[in-house]
Amino acid sequence: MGNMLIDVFLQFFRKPATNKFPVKYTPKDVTGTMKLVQEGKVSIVPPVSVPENFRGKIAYDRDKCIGCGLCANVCPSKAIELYTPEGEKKKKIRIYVASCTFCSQCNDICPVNALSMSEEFLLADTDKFSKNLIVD
Amino acid sequence: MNDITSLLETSSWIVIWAILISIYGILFGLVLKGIDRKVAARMQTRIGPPLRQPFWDVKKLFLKENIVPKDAVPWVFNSAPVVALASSLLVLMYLPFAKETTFMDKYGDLVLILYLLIIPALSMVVGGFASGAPYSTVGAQREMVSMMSYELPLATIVISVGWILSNNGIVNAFALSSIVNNPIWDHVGIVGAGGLIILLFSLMAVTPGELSKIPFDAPEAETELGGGILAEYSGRNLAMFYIADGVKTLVLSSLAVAIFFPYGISNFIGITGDIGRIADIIFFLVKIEIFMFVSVSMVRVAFARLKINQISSLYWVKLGFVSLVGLTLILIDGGF
Repeated sequence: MGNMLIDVFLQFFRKPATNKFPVKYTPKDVTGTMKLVQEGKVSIVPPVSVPENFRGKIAYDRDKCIGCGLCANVCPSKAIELYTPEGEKKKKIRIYVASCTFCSQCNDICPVNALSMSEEFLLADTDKFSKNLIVD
Repeated sequence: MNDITSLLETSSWIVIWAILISIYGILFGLVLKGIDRKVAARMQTRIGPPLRQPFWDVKKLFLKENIVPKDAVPWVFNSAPVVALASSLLVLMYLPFAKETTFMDKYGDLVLILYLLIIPALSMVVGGFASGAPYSTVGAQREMVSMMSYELPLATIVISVGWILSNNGIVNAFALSSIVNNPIWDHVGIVGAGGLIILLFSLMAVTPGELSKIPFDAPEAETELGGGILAEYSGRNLAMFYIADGVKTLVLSSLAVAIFFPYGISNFIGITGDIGRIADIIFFLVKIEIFMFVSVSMVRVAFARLKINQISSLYWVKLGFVSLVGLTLILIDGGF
């Protein structure tokens, strides 16, 4: 009980883990603020840097991939589709990030390390199949 | 004739005083709430809202629709927030401001304050029952239980203070002017000081209970009762409860500072006259902040909510016993 109080008190002097993202105070008009940002009148406070081993959007190295399909097999949410591109012999994969649970099992099982977890996490979109949410 | 003139003079003074103290209480209460939110956020390594956030919240709440539930008793439901705010401000009128005791001092003392402190909590109970909703009713029942629980330690503190002062031959031992001008620490030996430290600890434990703050916020319990007593309140009524909460924080901190830390800073750093008075007042506000930081903000960040039976047994059995031990130490010290 006492430890908790001491911890909390010490934490008071530590640098906050959060920051004022995206601008210093909540703007009254978001689109207006975004315009100002594009004109360079307002600067955006960058998001807090992600922690080590952060599991963001999957990055796919297409040239390394040998098309073994292990990732598609192991994927628990069936977010990885295996297909043969036209005019190519080897199979390739397509990842639907909208279904991805960021479990990182495909990364672990890949025999040639063609997959890796990037630090990108701003993935909100209105369309599940938008270009931003499909990795191939 | 003379009596009537003086009565009129006093009553007009009371009105002016009430207005002034309301402005001070409401504004500084909201500032206290802002500071509380800011420091609590910093202790959770967040940045937290700006200091003026409570003012924005109140402004927003006053603009919102004031909904009265179908099953509520409207006049009780609507008057409960007014009573809560008015009674908290009333207690503030009796409390000394730094060393400046007011003319209200001759109309009431610490015992009166002990009873007046019940009214804001009681009006919340009444408002909860008048909401006619299950969550509010459960919240009101819990508030009643916790209200009854923290009475014993609080009464013990008041009795101890009165006993120390009257044992040292001070007339009107319960009056706040005597308490502020005769710091209790000057009238006790080492054993008695130990007793006073114990009593200070129990006052610090009673404060979050009186304010329904974590870990004693079972009556409100956002996660299980969805706000409990306040569940059905919205708009203007909720804003008044919100302001009353800030005023109550101010009242309890002022009370604790008046009883346990009435020392000024002007003698210490050697300034006299009006500047010394102003320095004392600023120091008084700083003391209020510090007391609130230790007994409300830090506790509410560090601990989780207790169940209502735990609150009750903690206050009645454990804290009641501890403060009686403190009282006994003071009695031994005073040669009872």
